[in-house]
Amino acid sequence: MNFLSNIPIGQYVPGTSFVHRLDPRSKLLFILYFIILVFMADEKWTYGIVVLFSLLAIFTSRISLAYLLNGLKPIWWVVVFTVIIHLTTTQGGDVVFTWKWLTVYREGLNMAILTTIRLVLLVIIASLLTLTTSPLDLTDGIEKLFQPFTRFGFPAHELAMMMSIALRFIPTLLEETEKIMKAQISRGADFETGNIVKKVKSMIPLLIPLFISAFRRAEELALAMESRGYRGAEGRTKLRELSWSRADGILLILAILLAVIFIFLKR
Amino acid sequence: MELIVKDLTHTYAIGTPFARQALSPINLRIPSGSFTAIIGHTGSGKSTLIQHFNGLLKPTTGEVVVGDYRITKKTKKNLRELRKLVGLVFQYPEYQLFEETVEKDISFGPSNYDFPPELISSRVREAMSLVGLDYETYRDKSPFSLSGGQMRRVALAGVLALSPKVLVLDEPTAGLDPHGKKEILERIYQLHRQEHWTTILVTHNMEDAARYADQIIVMKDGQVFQQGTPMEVFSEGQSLQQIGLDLPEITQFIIELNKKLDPPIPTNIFSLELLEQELVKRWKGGKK
Repeated sequence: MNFLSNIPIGQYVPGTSFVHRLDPRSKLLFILYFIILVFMADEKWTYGIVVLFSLLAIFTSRISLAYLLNGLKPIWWVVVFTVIIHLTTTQGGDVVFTWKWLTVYREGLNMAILTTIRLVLLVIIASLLTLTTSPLDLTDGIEKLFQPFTRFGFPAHELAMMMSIALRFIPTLLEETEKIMKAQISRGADFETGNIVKKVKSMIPLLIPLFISAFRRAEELALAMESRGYRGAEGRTKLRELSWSRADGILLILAILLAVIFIFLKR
Repeated sequence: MELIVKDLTHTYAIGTPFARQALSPINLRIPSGSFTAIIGHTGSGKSTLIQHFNGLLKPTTGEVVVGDYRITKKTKKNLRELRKLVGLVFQYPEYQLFEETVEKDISFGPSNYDFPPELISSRVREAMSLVGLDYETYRDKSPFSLSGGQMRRVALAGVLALSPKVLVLDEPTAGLDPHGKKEILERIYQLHRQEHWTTILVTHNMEDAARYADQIIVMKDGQVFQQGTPMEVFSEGQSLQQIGLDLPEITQFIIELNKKLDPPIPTNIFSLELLEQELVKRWKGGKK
């Protein structure tokens, strides 16, 4: 019955690896940069480089591959769907095989494989970020990165605060959901069998208590924050300042190296 | 119904970096019709243990036998039928209320089992009278307009409406005022005797454990630390205090009193009335 806690997306795994020690800002920027690289890769060499680099990142983060792959479960159907679409609709190159009305071309096969790699890489890299960065660091990083835009009235602090509160309450709400679910199952509720209409209906005894408790929590939190003198970004100082470390320097060098390789290969 | 726990262990989030063993091999026998209290610190495995009793959690190893039902790691069938027999009341059960009216909410359980309408209605009335809520007054009220104590009664009735044979309560009085606490527990105890339930009460309160239980199970770090009648458990007061649990106030009082009394007052007195009788008896005996 612990299926809710088995979703590793966004769950921070504490550690002291190289990836853990990176400054959240450089991690965020680098991942943005890396995603662009993943989209620019278009043949086996460039793909090879990004795959190799991702494997290196996973290895240095000390997070078990099995655990990471487990996090891919929710996107498997997206992957399967794109593979099917590519196999059936993309035309070009030699015919690989035909079966009744279905014809698979070389180009379709290539595209299917490459898109799968692309999707899997994106998710793995993104979850590597949340797995190795504590939510607090992450929002701190985002706040700092958006700081320059506050000049134009962009609410960087408020946005970061909202994010960190939302992230903070994901596990709490999951726990709450599980508790309510268990209570209703104990009263004979059935969340697993039946057709779609029945399943949607069976959510009502779960969602109503969940919403009520979420609202109650929100109100209590707002009161608690205000009673401790919170009034937004103005005049608020940080307990922990982010700082540029040697690890970030190494990451910068790696980023430049990747760019050079890419320029060289793409020429 | 009798509950037997054999070599039960439970590990949460098995196979992830968050894996945590919550129960080390546990062996228990809870006789049919008994009142068992489970005490122990937060995180000692009490809640994990009781969730095995109606199959919400399945053993990682070992088994739980409830009446004719046997739950192991692989059990899939019959759990819904089992849950009809084993009522589980969670902490703060009022957080599970969701319907527009008290009557509808209490009938949620019975209607999940496709009981005929007449039976549902009679079960609701019965359950409401068991927890001391007047049917006509409360049936059409919104559960969210009630006071905390009343909401808890409604939630309790929602579990009782399935007329379970085994009732498992996880701190049913948490967050209630002293008066409400006593009322709820007294009613549960009275019903326990009247309906011949097998009752399992998880509590932090030693007074309650001493007063109502036939058997006390002390949990520590996912293991059974001690097991026995209230007198057995509380007469070994030192070992309880070593793991940071208190004796009931009344037992502490008797122990203090016994330092000055000869012969000592038996430490198996757990209610004020009985202690009063005993003291009066002594007083009169001494005067003669």
